[in-house]
Amino acid sequence: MDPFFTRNRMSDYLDNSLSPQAKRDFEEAIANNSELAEELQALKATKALLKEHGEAEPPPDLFDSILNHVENAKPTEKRWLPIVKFGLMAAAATLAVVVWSKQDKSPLAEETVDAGGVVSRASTPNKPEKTAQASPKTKPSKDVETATSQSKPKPRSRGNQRQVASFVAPPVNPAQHIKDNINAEPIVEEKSSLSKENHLGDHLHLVSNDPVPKKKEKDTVVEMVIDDAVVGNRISTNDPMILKKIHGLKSNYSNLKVLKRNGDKFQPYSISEDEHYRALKLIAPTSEWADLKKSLMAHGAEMIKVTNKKGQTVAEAEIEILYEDEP
Amino acid sequence: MSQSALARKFQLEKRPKARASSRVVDFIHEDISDLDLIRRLKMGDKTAFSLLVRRWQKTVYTQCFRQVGRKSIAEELVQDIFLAIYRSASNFREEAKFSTWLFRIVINHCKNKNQYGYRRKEKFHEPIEGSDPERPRELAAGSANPEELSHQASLKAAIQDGLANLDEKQRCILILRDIQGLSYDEIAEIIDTPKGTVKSRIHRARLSLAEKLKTQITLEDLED
Repeated sequence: MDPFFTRNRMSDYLDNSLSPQAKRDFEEAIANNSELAEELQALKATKALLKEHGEAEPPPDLFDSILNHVENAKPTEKRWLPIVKFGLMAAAATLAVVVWSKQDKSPLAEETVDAGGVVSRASTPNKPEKTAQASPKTKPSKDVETATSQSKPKPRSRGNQRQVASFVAPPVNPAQHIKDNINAEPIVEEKSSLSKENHLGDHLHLVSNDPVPKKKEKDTVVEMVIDDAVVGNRISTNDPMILKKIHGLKSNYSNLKVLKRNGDKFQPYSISEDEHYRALKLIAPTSEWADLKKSLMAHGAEMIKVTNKKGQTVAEAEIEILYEDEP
Repeated sequence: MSQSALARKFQLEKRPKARASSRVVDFIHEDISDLDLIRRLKMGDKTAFSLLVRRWQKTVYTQCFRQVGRKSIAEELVQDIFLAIYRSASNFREEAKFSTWLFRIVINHCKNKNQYGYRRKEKFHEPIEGSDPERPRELAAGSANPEELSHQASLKAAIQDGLANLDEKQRCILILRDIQGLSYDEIAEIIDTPKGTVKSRIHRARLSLAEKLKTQITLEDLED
């Protein structure tokens, strides 16, 4: 048995989950390789150590402390309550902003703001006339505050008017304010220009910090290296049917072993699951792994190499069917 | 089974001093299954809860302590976990084994705690017992030979140190398998991962741990 496969079956051997034939093959391989025998011994000892000394003794008062904790615990607030509270606060804040912005833009609101004290009543001589025009019933001689209150179906309190005014605290020169607003670009146009240039997509891509951009998948060529186990030669091939299968199916990538080539040997490549997934994503973006394994095994494949169009190796992985033949 | 039938079966009675009589209760209800206890808990029987605590506290504490590495945090976690069980007993739908449900809660709590500690840049795992002069090595009680006690303590400390250096997922799964003694199927159900992945992770975790233990313990120690 190949040392690589022997090494990967050590845990199965220790857990007694190998078939009788596989167990005999394994024991034979171990007997012929002292290095592997030593590794197996270390694994066996580690497992025994965990079993013997792994259990932790709880403190003697733990039982009482648990019951006390349960008895003294405060009744839980519903999980959704804080969210609802936050939502209501956010809605109230949004409503306030909307109301304020509408009042700020409408002629009626401007008058209210002015009347609230941002600009003195005397300094806006035209406003009372405008108000008077908007509400014919209002007497022109009355001041702005009176006119505003009469023009509304529900008269506001003085407090509200002051509060609204306080939002627009900086004293504004009305003429300059109008001029600025005319010259300013509408917000809608800014948004549309952003979407046209796809700024959002680029930004998200940078933030994701993914070293394998999705665009490269299209440029990736999958090359399978079929291993002749007896001779040991590796023959490169591009089988279009297999490539189609690789790309055409979906995968959950559960049982793939990634190895790193080190001279003539392969060593387990210690990579995080994310990297593992990423490497596989390159190989089989939408493959059903179980079906893929079967088709690859039928072709005797043990190795997948991913190269780009320039022929550079992007990812290299050896497929190992760890538990396929076991009961 | 209806509530009245259950009440008849177990002759339910209120036990205001459950803790004082817990040993007796343990003895009486030794043969009651976890499922029966959780059913009784759903009916509001606090005695059933205390029985569950007594039955599972060591397992839960071991899992928490080996995963987070600090006794104080493990204690807090165990309290929170049992509180969660007490409060959410009605959510247990009896589709899985009680132990599966319990371990899921335990693992989620540990994961949250580790993430919280990671965000706060806390180092949860304690150094090897005995290496800190201010924290004397804790020796197991009940053994007469001091050398043996010291040896056992150093082995336990080496285990903890080795586990602390593992990836969180590997650590969790290795504890479930080699310390708690769960089967691959049970682990796969608890962590909602394919069985093959569980096997691979355990194999990698054992290899990593064996490699790490080599630097601290000799093979003869391991074989003892």
